[in-house]
Amino acid sequence: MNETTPKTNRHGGVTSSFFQGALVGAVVLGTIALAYIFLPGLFNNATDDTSTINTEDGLVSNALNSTSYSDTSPGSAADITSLREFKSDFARSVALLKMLEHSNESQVLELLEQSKSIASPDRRLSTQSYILRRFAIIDPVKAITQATEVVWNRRAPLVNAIFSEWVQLDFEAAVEHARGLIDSDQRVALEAILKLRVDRSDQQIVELAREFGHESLALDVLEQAHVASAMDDPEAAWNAILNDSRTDVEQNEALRDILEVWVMQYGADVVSQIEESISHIDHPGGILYSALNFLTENAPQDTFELARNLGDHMRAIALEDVTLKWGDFDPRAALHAVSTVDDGALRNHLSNYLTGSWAALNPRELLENLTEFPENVRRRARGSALSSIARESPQEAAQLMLEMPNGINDYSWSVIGIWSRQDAVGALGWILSRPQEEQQKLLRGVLYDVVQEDPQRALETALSVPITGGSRGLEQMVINIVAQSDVDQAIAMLPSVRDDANTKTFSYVDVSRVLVERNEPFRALNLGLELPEPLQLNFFLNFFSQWRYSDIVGMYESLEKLPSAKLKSDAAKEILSYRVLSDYRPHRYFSDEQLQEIELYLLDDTD
Amino acid sequence: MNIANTKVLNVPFIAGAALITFLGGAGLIVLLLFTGNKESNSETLSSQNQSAVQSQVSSIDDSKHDDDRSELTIDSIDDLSQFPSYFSRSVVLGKFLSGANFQQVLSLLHESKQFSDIALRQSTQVEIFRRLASLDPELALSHTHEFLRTQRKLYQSVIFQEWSSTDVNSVVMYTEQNLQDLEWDTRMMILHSILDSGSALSEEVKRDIARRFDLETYFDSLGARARRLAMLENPKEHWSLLLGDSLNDHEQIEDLVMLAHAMIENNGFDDFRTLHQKLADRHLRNEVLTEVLLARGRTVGYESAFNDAVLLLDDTNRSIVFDVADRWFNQDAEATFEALSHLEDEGLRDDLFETTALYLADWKPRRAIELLKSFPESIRGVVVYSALFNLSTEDPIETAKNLSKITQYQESQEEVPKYARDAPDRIHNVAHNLFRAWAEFDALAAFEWLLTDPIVAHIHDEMHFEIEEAVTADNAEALIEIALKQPDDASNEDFEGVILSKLASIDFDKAKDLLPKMREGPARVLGYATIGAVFFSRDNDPEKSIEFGKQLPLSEQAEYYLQLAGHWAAHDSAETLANLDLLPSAEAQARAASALIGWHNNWRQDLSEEQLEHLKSYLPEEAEGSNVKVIRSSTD
Repeated sequence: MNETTPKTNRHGGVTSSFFQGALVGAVVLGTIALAYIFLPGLFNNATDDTSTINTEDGLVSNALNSTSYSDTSPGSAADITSLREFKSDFARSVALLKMLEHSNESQVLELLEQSKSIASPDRRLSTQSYILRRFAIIDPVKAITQATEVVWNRRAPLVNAIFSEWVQLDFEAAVEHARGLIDSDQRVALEAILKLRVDRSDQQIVELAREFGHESLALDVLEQAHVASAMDDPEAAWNAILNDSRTDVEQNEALRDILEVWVMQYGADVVSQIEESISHIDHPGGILYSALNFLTENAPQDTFELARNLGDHMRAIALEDVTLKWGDFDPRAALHAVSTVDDGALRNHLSNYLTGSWAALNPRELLENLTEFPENVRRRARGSALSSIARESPQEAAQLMLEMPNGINDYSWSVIGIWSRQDAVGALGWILSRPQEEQQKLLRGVLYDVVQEDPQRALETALSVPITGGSRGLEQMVINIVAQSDVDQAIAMLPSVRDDANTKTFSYVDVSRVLVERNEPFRALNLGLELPEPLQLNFFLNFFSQWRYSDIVGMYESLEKLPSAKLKSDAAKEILSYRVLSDYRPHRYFSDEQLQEIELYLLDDTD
Repeated sequence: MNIANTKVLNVPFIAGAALITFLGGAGLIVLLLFTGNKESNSETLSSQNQSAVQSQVSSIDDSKHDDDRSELTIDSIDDLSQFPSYFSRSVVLGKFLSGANFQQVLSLLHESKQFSDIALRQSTQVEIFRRLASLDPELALSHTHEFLRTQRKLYQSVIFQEWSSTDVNSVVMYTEQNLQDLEWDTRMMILHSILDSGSALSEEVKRDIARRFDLETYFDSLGARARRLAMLENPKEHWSLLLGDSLNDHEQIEDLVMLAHAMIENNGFDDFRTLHQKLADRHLRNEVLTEVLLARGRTVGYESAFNDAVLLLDDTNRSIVFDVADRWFNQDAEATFEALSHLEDEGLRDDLFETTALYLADWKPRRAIELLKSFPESIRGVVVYSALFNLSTEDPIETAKNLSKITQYQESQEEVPKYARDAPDRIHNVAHNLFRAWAEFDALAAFEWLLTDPIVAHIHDEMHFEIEEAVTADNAEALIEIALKQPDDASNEDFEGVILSKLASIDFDKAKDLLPKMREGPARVLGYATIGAVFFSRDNDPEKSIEFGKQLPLSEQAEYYLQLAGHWAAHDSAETLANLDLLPSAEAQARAASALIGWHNNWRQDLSEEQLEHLKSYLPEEAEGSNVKVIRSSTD
């Protein structure tokens, strides 16, 4: 017993201690629980502290702690300027939404007023969009009134925000109100209405838009919806676009986007699958482009084969896309594939493309491998390579050009043109160090840039190069360039032109073209009359052609003012015989009566 | 108290407290989980529970109105669809996303793809990407690639906006590092996100960023755009200001057009028409009207724009009706034809028919050929010609197959426009083009076609230049073989000579080797004369040049020397003049003299008065006196 009592006592004491401990634990927990229930702020703070650690940006928790109307007494204003403390747009928007969550009309108006002081226009507009969304739920008509206080061409996001809310709360009222808006607001409102559609069928959407005179807007919205649905079912989206009321040519971009995501989801076979469905589209290249780019990046050889096996309608354009993309990262392999194309024209065409991409990647390697290109593409390949080298090292490119057969004739523009853009004076110095017989051809590539730096030096340089073998003096080129930016300076240079018939005539013709473009045809005409008579024939032939091209109606109106019957007749003849290819264009500008009036100015050919 | 006892008694006390604390604590945690702020445990949620992250506030149904003071909440992203307004959805979604970490938000992105309401899906995904961007923008960008291009651009834009709002420097660095891979429109998007971020960047810094993005020119254009935006605030007032200022109105056409659009948006088309008709300058008036109507065609439809153009037709703006019709026709040919057939003005109607059909021939030649029979008979000839002309460079083989249609629909002389200066030889024009295009990739096939298709037999003589252009060192012999297969008649007689002549300028030895292949007559003379001329021009050996002709039969030698004289003169005036007397006939000398004078007159102007007088002494008397005039430069 003695032995047991202590045990029993001990047992009973243990039990008692256990319950005492349990009681203390329960009291502590109860206190915590009560505190949690009745002192939520304490826990909120604690939770927020934790969240500040847990959230990865450390910004959002601040947003959730920010002042909200739910935390303040009714009617008191939260300060919109407090949002400035948030760097993150996301955090700012969450804080703003919380501020607005339970705001009433006067509070919303107060916030709107405060928002006007936001300096950044974009931030101001996005803040006001949130505020007006809330206002639209309270009173959409008043919300629109507030929105229209913002200038008409900047308020589209606000109108969109209001109608996006309104149409979900009361479709009919939103539609009715939209009818009374000015065109620009109406189109924005209608688009929001159509996008939300609220259980309306496609047909009802189109009819509604038609009532507003904006049927195309409904077609746009439906097209966008079809495209967006491609994420779920690209085939259905594809067919929906092909079967809608729009012409498929107008929907190239929609088809392109659907095909791209379709190929991303289901692979290359899709391209062959859709081939037939777009056989009626004349230029399907735009549709295929993105999908083929995606496939080429991942499997160029397979994609090339895929393109090669397409039908006549798509093969060439598909091979073009694949070759271009492939050439960006492996032109040699692409060229090898291209060399297996049977169609000679296409093979040439594709090889030409690859000269550019290979030159961009490694021009010197391209020059070493010219024989891999068809013979008639090699000149272009050399040109591309030299251009590319000229960008890094113009003198090296110039030296290479001189070493190539017929180099100056074929490649001076590729090399000197690029050198000149970088360093006109350096390029000019190099050219002037070359033998005189080479200079004329080479100077053509540099004169434009020399004119920009020093027109007088450009003119003097041009005049120093002899006129040989039927060519025109380079001063014509200089004067033409000067005329583009300063026609008066160009006119002042005309007396310097050498006494060579063609050089003189066409220097005047070039200046007259600029004058005609500036709507000063009679100044140009008087310039022509200053020329020696034998040169006038050629001048006026060109002048009337320019005038007719630039302003045929003005020419017609000026017929009577021309100084001689001969010039009147020449001008009339120019107007009447204006054609582009087979299209005789006078009737495009003049009625039959006017054409008859113009005919009266024609002199008999024997005159 | 026995220490041992105390210890024994303390153990159950602690155990009891611990058990209750554990059980109660667990219960409290559960309570917190159900009612508390999810941020306190967001990092510890298992991935299965990630979608069940909850907002900190108590649940309330927002389906009636938002005007009570209860907080909105959702249990999962699926619940978003029960909220009737964007605003309420934005509120709960914002809170919902606020406490989630990257992985959790990413799970929500995947769940959002299940929304059948596409508008809801997209607006939700925009917010999700904004949140992802606030957590890890670069990683967020990598998740845009699985979306449609339009969505991808939208989500990328949202990401860059968010990223720029917190760390412009990182955005700039990222863009610079990836510049080569970023499309232009993406670079512009990023630049805008930086400029719009509200960061206090100086103009200099903004420009520097634009320069680093290779968008300096675009940046410059933004200033003008901002100026225009301000102008649009009051379009009528600015319309008057622009017309009244000292600047050239023609250089402000773009601004006037923009203001016109704004006026139409604000006040309707009639207001614009009234102001527009007051524009005194015809050029300005019509250019503004053209731009406005074409833009309206794109937005409100070409039918409406066409009707406006017809309504506003006057003596100076007829072409605007055609411009609008062209575009309408391109969009919907049938509707355009239908509308044209109802036009009251017959002259205008007929002209429009022809122009629109030719427009189709320009842009879609195959379609024009297909539709040929649906056009009025009077315009079929000109349409088929125009279509084949345009098709010839694109598809020469197809063009060759259709060439006979030109003859089939040939217009009678009366139908050729009365003001035509020169009625085009349609077969000739198309054949030239198609031969050049065909020869680019298969010169042999093109040449074979030229020599065998009877429809082009009459233009053989006019094709020498095109044939020469097609000759290369590799194909010359094969071309000569094709030429030799042709019957020996007048239309084919000198083709092999033409080819050999060209070859001589590319590969003289090869050309010389092929001389024996020349048939007797013009071809052989042409070939020999070309080779013989090279001894003069390349070797400076006029005697050898003359001697070479003696290999020909006597009957061909006279023509040889005539041609040789022409070659000499074409090469060099002084050399020819010096050796002119070596030419073995008076006719050849006269030919050389005449050619030298011709070169002087038309191109070189390199002979003195004495030399000219000397040359004239070689000319037959009648030529000396009348036909061969010496033109002096204009200042002589």
